[in-house]
Amino acid sequence: MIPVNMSELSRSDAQGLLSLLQSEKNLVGTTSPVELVAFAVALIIAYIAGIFAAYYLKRHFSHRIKKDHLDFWIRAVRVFFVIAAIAITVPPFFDAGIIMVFWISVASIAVIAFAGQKVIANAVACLAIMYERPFTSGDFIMIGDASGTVVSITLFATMVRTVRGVIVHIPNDQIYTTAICNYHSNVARRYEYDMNIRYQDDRERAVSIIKGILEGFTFVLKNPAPEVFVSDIATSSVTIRIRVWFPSVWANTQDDISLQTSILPKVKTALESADIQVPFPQREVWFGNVPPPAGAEGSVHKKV
Amino acid sequence: MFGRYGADLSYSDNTIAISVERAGTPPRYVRACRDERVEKILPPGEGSIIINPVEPVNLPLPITRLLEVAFPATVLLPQSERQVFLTFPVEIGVFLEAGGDLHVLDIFSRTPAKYSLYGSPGAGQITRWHRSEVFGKAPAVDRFSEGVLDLTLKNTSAETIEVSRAVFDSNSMHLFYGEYVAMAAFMEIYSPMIARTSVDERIAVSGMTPCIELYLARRIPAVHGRGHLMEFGVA
Repeated sequence: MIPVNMSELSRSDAQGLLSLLQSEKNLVGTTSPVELVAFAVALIIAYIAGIFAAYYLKRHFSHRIKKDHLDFWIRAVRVFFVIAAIAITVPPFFDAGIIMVFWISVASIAVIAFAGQKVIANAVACLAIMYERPFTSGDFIMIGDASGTVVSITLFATMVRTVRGVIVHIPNDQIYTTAICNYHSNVARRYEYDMNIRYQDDRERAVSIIKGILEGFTFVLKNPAPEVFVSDIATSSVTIRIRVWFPSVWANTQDDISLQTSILPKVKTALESADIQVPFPQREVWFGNVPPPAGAEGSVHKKV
Repeated sequence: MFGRYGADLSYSDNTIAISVERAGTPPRYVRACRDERVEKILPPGEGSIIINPVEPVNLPLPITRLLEVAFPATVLLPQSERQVFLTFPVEIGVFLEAGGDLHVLDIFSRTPAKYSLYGSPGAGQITRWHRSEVFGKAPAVDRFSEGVLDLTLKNTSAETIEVSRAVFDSNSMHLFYGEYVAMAAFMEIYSPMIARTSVDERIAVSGMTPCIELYLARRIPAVHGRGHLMEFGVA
């Protein structure tokens, strides 16, 4: 930047600057009403063209492209139309006067101030989500207390459809600062379930029956192989743990309802038909002050 | 059952029953297989029904486009080539060709499906899994249940490698049918971890009819000739 000594400015320069500022032409600008109307009409045409383009894209590509990708391209095309309209009609505005530039600046600052810090934070968080992609449209996620399928990611909020069919709008800045559980980011997930059998039941046989059921189930992955093993000797039962891997894209909720409803009834039926039962809770209660019955040693105890 | 039918069609065996009644009001397509029954009303007028094997990755849900064939470990010496015959599951596609369009009417299979994970849960791929024996020549198979995969294994590395799996991309598959369903493929092994599989557009057996693949019927742009890169091991 070249330093200017104000004292070195000639009188004629100062007068020229003053006359420039006071000139009605430069204060109001040379933008004609026709140019303003052309600008507005161009924006309307761009908007309508965007609607038609969106309709065309949806009609021809909705079954071929993932929804969020299609939404992105629709948005990109609509933005392109608007930018084209502005690019065609705005150049005359560059001849705008100081007053108009001043008021546009004031209005812009006012809008930004009105929108506030929260809105800007949401928009920035949206960009961060778009860049890092912790989830995409269609993924099943859990954010805080809300869990469901991501419907769309907009500039300020992410819409999640819960398993009850309710749409939850979560502000993007809240998403970015909260732990996110994405159930679709890996191609496969593991499901775990504990089954209890009685002490007198044949554990090896129970494991073999469960493995047979899992082997015959389409969506239980062959590799990694299912694991079925005795995991605990509990107070009134033997616990058998089932671990299976399944395609994430198949099971659609975080509680693995698809797998539970498919596997568990079959496992229960197969175990019951092999006379392997789920035990009732048992507890032994000792009565220390009751005299033992004839023939018994020590205190009396009752099985409840 | 495989072929093109311009008029009515009726086929049934122990597990499959298909019928197309053009003269009915309305004309309808009915299929029953493995406790599943499908019935569709057909459009009136001319049109052909085409039945042929399709890429076996669609049932019960099209959640992957990869077919993994697992087989007993086969040892390949360095810079060696070997031809083996395997089996693969058959899925049967029914197409309606009418009005200049090819519509997928139905897909069904006698063979129960099983999925697997090729690679790690984070970076791997879900595959339609099939277990096969290794044969020295084309085995006798039930053509409605299993097909014959003529696979040429080529070890281009400088070490002896055991191969026990091959993964194929259904978007570049080419199937043929005749006395049996067939597919010819090539597997070039670069290391115990990396290999490339590709399916030939032709088959050495004469008298075979090329199938209409689903990616053609659905107008899915397929990348021919590139095959599939196996990056998570060949054993």
